Amino acid sequence: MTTPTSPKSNNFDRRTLIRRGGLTLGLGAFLSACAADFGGDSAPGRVGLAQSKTELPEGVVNDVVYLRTMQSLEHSLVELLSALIASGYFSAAQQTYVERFVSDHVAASGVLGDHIVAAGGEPYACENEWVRNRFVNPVIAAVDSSDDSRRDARNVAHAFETMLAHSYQHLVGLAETPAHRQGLMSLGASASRRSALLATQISSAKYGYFGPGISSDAAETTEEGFPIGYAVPATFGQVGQILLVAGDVDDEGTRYSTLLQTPAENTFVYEYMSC
Amino acid sequence: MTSTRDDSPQLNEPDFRRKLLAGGSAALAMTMIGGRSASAAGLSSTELDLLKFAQRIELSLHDLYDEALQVDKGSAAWTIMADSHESFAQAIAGFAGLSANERNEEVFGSYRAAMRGTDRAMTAYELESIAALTHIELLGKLSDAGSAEVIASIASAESRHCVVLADVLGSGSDVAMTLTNSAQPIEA
Repeated sequence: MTTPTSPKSNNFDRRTLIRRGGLTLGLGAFLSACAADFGGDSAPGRVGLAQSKTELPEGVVNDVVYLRTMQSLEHSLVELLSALIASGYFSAAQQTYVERFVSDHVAASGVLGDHIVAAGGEPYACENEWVRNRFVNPVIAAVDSSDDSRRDARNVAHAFETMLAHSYQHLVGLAETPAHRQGLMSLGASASRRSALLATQISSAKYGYFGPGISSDAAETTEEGFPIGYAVPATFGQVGQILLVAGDVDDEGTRYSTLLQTPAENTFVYEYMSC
Repeated sequence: MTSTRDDSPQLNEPDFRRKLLAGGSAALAMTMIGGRSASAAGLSSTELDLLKFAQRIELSLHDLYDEALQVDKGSAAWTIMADSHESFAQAIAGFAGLSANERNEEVFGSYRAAMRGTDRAMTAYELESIAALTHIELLGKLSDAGSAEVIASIASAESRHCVVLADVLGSGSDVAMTLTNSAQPIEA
């Protein structure tokens, strides 16, 4: 019996493999070490296009922020009412007092600016961007395309003046300094008067002065579904949200509606913000 | 499995007696300080004086509207106004623990005859204007935020009353009457 033997190669045995492998690695290391430095980023790779991490500014809430926020809302009212006046949606009689409202809002902004400077802050004499994008723009669009722009313009003016009154009263409870509370409420009382005046002009002849918070039989909406503004909606001054309905009826049988609210963290004009 | 361990607080008799005496003494001390001690909000005596001042004005207005009701019996507007001012006084009572039982006699006496006269709506307009402005002035003196909230809600309502009364007087479109408060506040 013969034992088969594997053919032996004289050219490539295990020892040769180890020798050639070591030689290749050594040569690679030598060439890398001697290679020219062409620069380039050696940091770990990143996903995305941002140049650097963005640090969020610190939004400290204090009296100056409350005052700046109300100053911005005064300017929001100026912009809104001016747009409605320019579109010719008010009667001559209405325009008389709405124009007075505009000048009152400008004056209020000046008063607030004085309070802000006295408190060591920077005035913010321009409109509130959040309110512009969330409320003013869509509301103006709804009024412009309405089946009754005059009706809507009055209701819009009333709703925004009411929102302003609620906002001032709400911030009185948050402000720390008594002088700021007094300043806020002084302007808040004026806003309440404007709101009551509009309510009186719009609806008192048909629905009376006193709302459901006082008279249990007072209606909340008109037959068409518009909220009724009352000169005195409740016994005490209110701070709740205000339902506003405007615009033409859409394909689904509804109109544009929104809830106007008192300022909160997303509406505040922080001290790091500028016009 | 139910635990058989007694979780009730362990008090030996001398400890319990001491705590009972301490609690009783504290309660007695609170009642001896007087009506003001009932302030649930823990307000200072200065703050309570200011709130009492506001409350007395509200009670005066309530009583003055009652005078108008003697002339215009059953008037819904006067009834609502009278009730509103009583509610304002009660709100201050509820917040500060001050009994609503004392009006401002000077205010009442100054306006009583006018509220029975032919110009009672105009008098009411003046009274609401004075009350609103007095409360706004008060906000600059009150240190407690809760007190300020109560007074602010009253000032807001009274500002609205002014517009209603201006409209009742036929001056609903007169911006000088509806939008401006030219009254003089009562000094606290």
